[in-house]
Amino acid sequence: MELSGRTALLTGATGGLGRAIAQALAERGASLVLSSRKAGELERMAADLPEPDGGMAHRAVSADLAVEGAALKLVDEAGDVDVLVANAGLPASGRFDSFSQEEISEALRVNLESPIRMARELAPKMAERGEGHLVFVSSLAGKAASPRASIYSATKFGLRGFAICLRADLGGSGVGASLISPGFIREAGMFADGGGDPRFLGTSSPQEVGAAVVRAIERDKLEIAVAPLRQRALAHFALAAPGPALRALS
Amino acid sequence: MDLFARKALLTGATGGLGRAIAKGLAGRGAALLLSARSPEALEKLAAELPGGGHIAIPADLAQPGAATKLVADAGEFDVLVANAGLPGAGMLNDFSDEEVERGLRVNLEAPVRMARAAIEQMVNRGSGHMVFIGSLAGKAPSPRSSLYNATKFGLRGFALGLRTDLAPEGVGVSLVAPGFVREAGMFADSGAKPPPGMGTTTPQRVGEAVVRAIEQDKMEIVVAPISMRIATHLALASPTIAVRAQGGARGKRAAEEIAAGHPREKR
Repeated sequence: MELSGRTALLTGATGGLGRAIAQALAERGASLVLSSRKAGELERMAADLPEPDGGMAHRAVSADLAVEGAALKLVDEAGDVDVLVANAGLPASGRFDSFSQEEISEALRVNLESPIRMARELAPKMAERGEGHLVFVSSLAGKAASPRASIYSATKFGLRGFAICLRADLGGSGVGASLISPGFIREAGMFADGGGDPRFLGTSSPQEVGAAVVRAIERDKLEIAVAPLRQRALAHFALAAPGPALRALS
Repeated sequence: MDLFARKALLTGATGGLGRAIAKGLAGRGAALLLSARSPEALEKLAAELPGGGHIAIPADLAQPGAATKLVADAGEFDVLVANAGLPGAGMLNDFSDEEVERGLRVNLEAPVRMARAAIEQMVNRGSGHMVFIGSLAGKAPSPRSSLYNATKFGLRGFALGLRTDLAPEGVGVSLVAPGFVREAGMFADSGAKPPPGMGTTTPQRVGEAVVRAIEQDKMEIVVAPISMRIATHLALASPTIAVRAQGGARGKRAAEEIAAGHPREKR
């Protein structure tokens, strides 16, 4: 799908990856509905991004997706959109017993339930118009389970299973669905914020994630892993043989 | 972990797979804390099982807070078998918004929250085992079941990650993933035929797999004929091909039959 003059709803827009995705979409001429918890930052971002083709200005709609019902309210306020980029996610890493029951529910809601409920609302409307695209920003942690990230893995494995199946179900409707799986991202985003050091595994840039989202929409790709080859190979190995992979990582 | 004289909390106990798992555990001498929605069916099951000391604890895991309350009501136990699940077959837009929420809560959030509620007592004792009943739909994306896939993929990622975290504490974590099970359970209830060439397995085998997972501390046991395990492995490696293959007319028909066979009130 061509992005010029289209409307795209982007969640987690003020995060490190979100900003890079917003920039990439805006450079292709899309008009953005930017969402995150930070109303002030969203407004500034909307003003700073390249102007969209076709005269529809970028808009800001703040929402806290950890709050019950917020995903549906956001979709409602966003109105007609051609593209959804579900990018918002909580880092949700750490030993399982460091999470409270409430934190478990919040992570599941933001990372998995919200994207599913937004897709549930938007996909039928897109199918009626005969075109649209849903992009789910996941993680290599959705293919390779990693230690001290059981909740994060639950949400990202879940998002991957959902997206792949949804894509098959939407086949023929003109609506595409894609999964973007970043590995370790430097400079911005939750991995960089955590001061992570991937040692020999290498990193990618937020700009590469933005470019992958654009490519997924324009060329209707099922899944794009944004990571150096050795990381992708490791994730693939972990997908096929989780036992040895987990032993090696822990 | 040896199951003799251990206490095991089992959810979804009165379903087809649940009964077979209960029999498998009770046959090894475990005392069961049986949970499901119907008190009568639970009492009947508790009386029928071999051994003694089985107790019924009714709970509706679709209710907010029910998962943590169930663990609190169960008190001390050595083994958790999170088996309860709602069938999630069908196109996403066939599910109401409320059904989406229930599906996610029962199939994914409840097992995770139960594990969280049970973890302290197991870690404090330095022993315990958690078994999560996944599905081959947690490894191979299957058509017309995006919600079910989301929960079963999610449960698999959770269990694999949790296993590494808990291994140093002496607490085991396993995933048991059944394929198409005949005679009882949600696939059998739908009355559908499995996709061509895939074959079926029995509830007894699922029960045996749960016992083996606990006794031999297995990470993951797939309960399905070899043909299906191979197909799943291929799907794991290349979802594009798997989705295309199953998106064909025969695969779609099988998925439709399963969805059509699940009454709405079961969601």
